[in-house]
Amino acid sequence: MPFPVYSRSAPLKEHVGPVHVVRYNTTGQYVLSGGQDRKIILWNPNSSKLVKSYSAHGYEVLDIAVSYDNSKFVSCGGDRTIYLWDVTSGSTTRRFSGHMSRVNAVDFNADASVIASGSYDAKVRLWDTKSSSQRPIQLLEEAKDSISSLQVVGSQIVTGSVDGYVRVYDLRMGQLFEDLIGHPVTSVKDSTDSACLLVSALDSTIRLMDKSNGTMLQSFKGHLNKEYRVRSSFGDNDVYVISGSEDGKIYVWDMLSGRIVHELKGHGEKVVSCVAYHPKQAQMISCGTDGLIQVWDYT
Amino acid sequence: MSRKRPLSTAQSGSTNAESVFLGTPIADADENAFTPVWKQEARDERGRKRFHGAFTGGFSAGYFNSVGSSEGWTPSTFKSSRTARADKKVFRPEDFMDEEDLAEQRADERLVAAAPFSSISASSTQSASGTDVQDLLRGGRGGESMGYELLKKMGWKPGFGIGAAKSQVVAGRKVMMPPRADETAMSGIRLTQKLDTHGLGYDSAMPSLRSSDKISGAPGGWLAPGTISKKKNSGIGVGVVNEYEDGDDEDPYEIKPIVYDRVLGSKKQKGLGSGASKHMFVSKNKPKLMSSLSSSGATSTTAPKSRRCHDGRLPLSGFVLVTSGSLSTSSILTGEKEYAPPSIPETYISGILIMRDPHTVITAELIADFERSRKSSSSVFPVPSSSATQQQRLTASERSRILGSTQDHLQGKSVFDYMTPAQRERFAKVTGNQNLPPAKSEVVPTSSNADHISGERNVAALLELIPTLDKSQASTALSAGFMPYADDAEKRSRYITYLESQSGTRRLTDVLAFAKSGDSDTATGKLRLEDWMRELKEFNKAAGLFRPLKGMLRNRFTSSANASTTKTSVVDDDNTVLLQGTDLKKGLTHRDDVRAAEMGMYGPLTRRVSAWAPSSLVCKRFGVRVPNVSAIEISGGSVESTAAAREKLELLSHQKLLDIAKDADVSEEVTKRLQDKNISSGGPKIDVEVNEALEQKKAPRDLFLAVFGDSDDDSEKE
Repeated sequence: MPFPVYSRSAPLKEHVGPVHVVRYNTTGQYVLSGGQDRKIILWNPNSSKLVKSYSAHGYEVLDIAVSYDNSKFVSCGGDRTIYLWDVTSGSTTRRFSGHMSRVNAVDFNADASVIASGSYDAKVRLWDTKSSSQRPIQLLEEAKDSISSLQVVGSQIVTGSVDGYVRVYDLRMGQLFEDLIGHPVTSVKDSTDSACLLVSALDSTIRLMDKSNGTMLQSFKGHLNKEYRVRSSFGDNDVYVISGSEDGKIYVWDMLSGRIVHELKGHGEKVVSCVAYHPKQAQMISCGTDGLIQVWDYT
Repeated sequence: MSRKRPLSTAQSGSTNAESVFLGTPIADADENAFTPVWKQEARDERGRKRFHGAFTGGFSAGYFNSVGSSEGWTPSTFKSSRTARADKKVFRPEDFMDEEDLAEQRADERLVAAAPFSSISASSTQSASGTDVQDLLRGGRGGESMGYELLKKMGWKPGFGIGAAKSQVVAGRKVMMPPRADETAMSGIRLTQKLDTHGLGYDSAMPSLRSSDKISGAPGGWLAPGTISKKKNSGIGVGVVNEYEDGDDEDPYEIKPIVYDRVLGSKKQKGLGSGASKHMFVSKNKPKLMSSLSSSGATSTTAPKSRRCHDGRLPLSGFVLVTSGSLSTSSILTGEKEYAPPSIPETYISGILIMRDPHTVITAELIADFERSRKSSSSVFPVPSSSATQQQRLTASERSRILGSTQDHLQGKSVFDYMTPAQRERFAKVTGNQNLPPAKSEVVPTSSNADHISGERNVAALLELIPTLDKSQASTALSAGFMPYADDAEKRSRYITYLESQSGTRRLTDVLAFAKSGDSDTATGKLRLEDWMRELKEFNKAAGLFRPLKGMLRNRFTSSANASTTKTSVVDDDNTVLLQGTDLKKGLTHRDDVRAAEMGMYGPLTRRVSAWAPSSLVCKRFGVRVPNVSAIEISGGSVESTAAAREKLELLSHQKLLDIAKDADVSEEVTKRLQDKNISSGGPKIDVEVNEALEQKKAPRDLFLAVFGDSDDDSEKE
């Protein structure tokens, strides 16, 4: 599949201020974006139309995760709370608060029964969506610094922390694997086959780590990532590695060779904070601090 | 309507009288005469209403029917004897008498003079009326006076004195007895002839109300200070406006013209008192002690003029002033014993001697010199009270000599004092200033000979210098989990030593070991005395600073990956999530895994595996069986094997690091150090690619069978 290198002439411009996160739903029909303006907006990426706007957060929205059935999504942000939303009604169904500071990352487990949230307070909290309890069902305190990124993969919880570690909590084995990256980790992303981890760090390097033994399989360089949380992503069934950059470009690497395939300009000079690749088609969305959401197509 | 002519008028019509009576004359006495029957009230002879109660015609023997109570026959309400115990009423016969009986009783009563007074009454008729009272006092029966009788009635017995009962031993028992007549001698009662016209009970100590006392010669008839020496009593109700100039001799009850033209606190200073005097707050109610005070050689404290404060004002009422020159008087006044200050032992050295100058190192000569100077002249320590001017006259160098400093005397000198004339010439040439002070070419005193610590006494003196820390504080600082000075391992060890010495787990002298014993001693890890002192003070502060956070507060923080990571993640101006931890590696470079990560050698070196127990609910939600973490730990499967693996990997890593270092042309030192380390550890040949520990073979099947297998199954299979 060709890589989507062409951005639309009219980017989605509904957010005021930086956009922190963009996410496709599981089918790729819709896009959820959250920004500094405390709003979460549901888009149709094909028509570039706004579908719905969700507002409950008191501070910026930092991460969004969509449940497997697309009926609900979870968001977290600077107000230290995690909201569970009903997509159709647009109302919050649950509210989880317990983190001591802003929540950077959030994710569902496979059946959306547990929400994992990682916060600036260096803790990961697991929330039960099925019970009405307000307390987290488990607290993961191994990180020594802010949790910047988090993903629940099967029975594993993968966290990236500013203390330079990628931690894999394996529930099945009852073990914790801590892999030292040596630089503050800004993003962790599991590969489709769940064998590798794509780890972005603040040394302007993205590493492909083998989950089984912690060795580095490939490294991707060329972009600029020194200060900000810039998220990386796999693209097109792990053929590509895509990442934003602090120089306003989007870099695309070939996963196997590690060479830069594309450098896409779409956000001026501003930081491209998040990219997301369509789960099925050749489409990509990116967002940045310029407040724009670009949709990339291959034609 | 025509009126009927009454009969009387008709009858008297013939008389043709002018005044005509119409109607029936009203009966004066009987009010009921013209009231209807139902309105009439029955009244008794005193005019009181006779009948009360139902329909006003009914009979109710109430109070006025002489039943004796206003309630009549209605019983009194029940009173519980539990709360109000029945009072034992004493009934008199009169209580049961009716009016008739009482009247009879009253008729029977006759006033009769009592027998004892019959004679008096009889005599009084004979004697003159003016002497009646005297007779009465003189006594009744047996010639005893009235007072005698009264005393006897009060319990006094003839032969005993008057006064408070005293304890006496009577027949081996202690009893309270009135004083004997001989020992009293009326000592407590002053019998003075009353010549004045004051009322009974008048106390002369009380302020007089007679104005004649005050008009004693003072102009204007008002009191001049000192004219009348009266006892002062503090009185209540003394207003400000009534205050007289000399409050000392003031009569609080005196009625004076109110002065309105006065300003509070604007009294002129009437000359300063002695500068050495100060307020001593002593109760005035000890006049005897006051007199002893004056006799004890103090400046005439009783004289009212000298008892002013240094600002010329009088002390507060209720207090007297005591001069500090005779401080012992305070002890007299307060009644406390006074002890001489303890004598200073001969071997005592003032701590100032060292503290003044950190460069100074105590030597035997120095101590001897110091003691000599101390013995030779007592003026070395000027008594502060002797005079302030003497203190002021001391120069800086003198003071430094007193304080035992050896180098402070340099302060008074200029550079030129140590210059040779040739040097001065050159200096003048360079500066172009010929007007320089003369060069004296003095020899700069060196302290090299004094730079070694010797003698137990010096050690003790140094130990005193070590700043003390609370024992508990030291131990908490030790167990805080966080140690400052992560960047300086030596300093940290010194810090730990200091804490341990303060917490009591280590001897105090261990801290001294870090102090350099002299210039010649170039041993590493030792400090100059000055630095050593400064560092100890720093440690003392640091220990107080790095206290462990407790409880809830502690939960709110997390210890950073390392101490030097200052800024990790913030939101910048652009409101973007900013992650900053670039100096993360700074403090971790000594760790192998960090070094490996830096070199890109990710893998077993950078991986850490530990047991982690997910909660059962999480496992349930994830659809995962709860892992038996404890079994993993006990069997030592992965966790311990990783420990073993790490040990081997360390060797491995050294080998690989060595290669990489060679390739990457790292500085020789690193290579050498790595080589040394490798040699010391034996450096066995290890295959880099294969990690035995991690790739442990599964235990043989026999073992599993032996442990888990059923013996019956085995037999069946066989």
